[in-house]
Amino acid sequence: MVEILIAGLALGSLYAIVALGYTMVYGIIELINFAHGDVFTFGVFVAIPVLDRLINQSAINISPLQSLIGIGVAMIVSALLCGILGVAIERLAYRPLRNAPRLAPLITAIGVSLIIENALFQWQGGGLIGFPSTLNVVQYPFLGGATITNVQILVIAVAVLMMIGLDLFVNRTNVGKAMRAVAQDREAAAMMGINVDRIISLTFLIGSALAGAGAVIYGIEISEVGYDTGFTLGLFAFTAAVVGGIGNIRGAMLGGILIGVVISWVDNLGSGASAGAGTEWYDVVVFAILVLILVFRPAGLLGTNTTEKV
Amino acid sequence: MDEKQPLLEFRDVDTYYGSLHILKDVNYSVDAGEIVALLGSNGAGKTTTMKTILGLVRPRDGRVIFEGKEINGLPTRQIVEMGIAPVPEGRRVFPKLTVLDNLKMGAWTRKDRDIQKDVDRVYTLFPRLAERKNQLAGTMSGGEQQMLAIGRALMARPRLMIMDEPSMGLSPILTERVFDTIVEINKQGTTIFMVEQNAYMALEIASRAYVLQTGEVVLSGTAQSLMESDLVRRAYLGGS
Repeated sequence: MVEILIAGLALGSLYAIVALGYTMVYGIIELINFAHGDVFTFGVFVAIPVLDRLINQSAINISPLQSLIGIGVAMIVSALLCGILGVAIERLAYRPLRNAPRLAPLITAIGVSLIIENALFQWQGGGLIGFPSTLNVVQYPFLGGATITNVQILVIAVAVLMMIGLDLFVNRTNVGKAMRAVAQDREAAAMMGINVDRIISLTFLIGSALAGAGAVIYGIEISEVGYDTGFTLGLFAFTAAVVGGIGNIRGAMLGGILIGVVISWVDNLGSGASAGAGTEWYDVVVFAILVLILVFRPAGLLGTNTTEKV
Repeated sequence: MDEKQPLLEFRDVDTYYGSLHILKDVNYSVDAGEIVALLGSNGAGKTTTMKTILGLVRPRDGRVIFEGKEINGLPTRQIVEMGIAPVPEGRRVFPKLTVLDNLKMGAWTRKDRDIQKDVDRVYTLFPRLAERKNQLAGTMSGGEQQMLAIGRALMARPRLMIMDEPSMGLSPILTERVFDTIVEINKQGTTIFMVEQNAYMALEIASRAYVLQTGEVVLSGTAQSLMESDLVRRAYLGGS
């Protein structure tokens, strides 16, 4: 039971990190950025050469220092490149459509997603690619005879740090408050002299950079990646954002962790010969949750039904 | 030629929404230190005037001049940076930010970050805001939100404050309080250009006023002279 919870937390914090990107962009320009999952995939792929260079793959025992430096640098590189990609997508594809009917940017987002996905296909091919081994997996005993691995500790710790950092930024800094002001009333924010375009760019930068950093963590945890990895993961993360209340940052964190724990639980259904049969049921369960939320609590768990714009 | 240059000037301004001609060849001038009121019924073009100053509506013809510089065509952000702060129609406070954070957003264009003095000044003008500084703006009453909208505009230390219907939705007592504060703010050195439906209240505190009818300035002059004019008495003051 505890093990299911730990695995769920580790997976869920990944969904949460990706869900943040969906929810932040939706909060500020009311667009579902379908390309976000593909930005994430891009992040996984750019991390691979960095890790190959920094971590000696043939060593039987990778020194912890080398692991940490390699992972850290890979996360920074990946976050930076994904951030730039995210900003470029907004600038080139979404900004020209800022005042167009809402269907136009939505279809554009799907188009951008397809472009990136196919570019990644051209670059990396259609098969699954192994992610470099970055550290020696160690198991530690945990509560009630369960175990926790150093990978899981790393994933949860990094994700929690990023979420706390984002939460502090958005709620405590002036720029973060300006970001919320733009999300609540764009025209009024412009009347305060806030550079709305720059704030929107910054939102894409942060959301995409988080996905980039999260992508490295994903590679370490899941260890295999394909050109369409981000597509499925993106759908789950988007579901997480909706479950938590789209546009609500803490909601995305809650939704992500919830979905992760549920998947981890489904994963462990069945025993003996049918052990692991749960994997077939991921999509069914996750999207059933989506439907239930949309029917019974459309604003999401932490969302409110009150309109912000009067 | 006037010796003194007005703070804000409209010169033959025409604006359109699509093919709808809203402002027709409009001229205003607001001198530093004045309270100038813009009167008129619904649809006369009052809010369009405010939006034109802020660059939210671009005039098709004519010029908007602030401190001698042409501002029509500039983005809203730059116009605000030049020293114009709006108290927009419907208040437009940020509902999910606290009162204090709303005030901080008002100070966004300020280069110095030393805004505590201004926060204190706003709290002195509106003690109610001090009591509610950590409350979310959206949970406050209409009157409190109006105070916040005015306080937020003050935070920018504007030279010109433009107000769109400050009395809208307020009780008569509250309207009176808000107007007293507007006079106080003006005395402290901020020029005010305001749109107001409540012509009587507006003319009581204004030095001059313009009357707008279907996009045209049909009357202008000192508040005193307008108060006595037949047109204003009949149309806006309900007098005989």
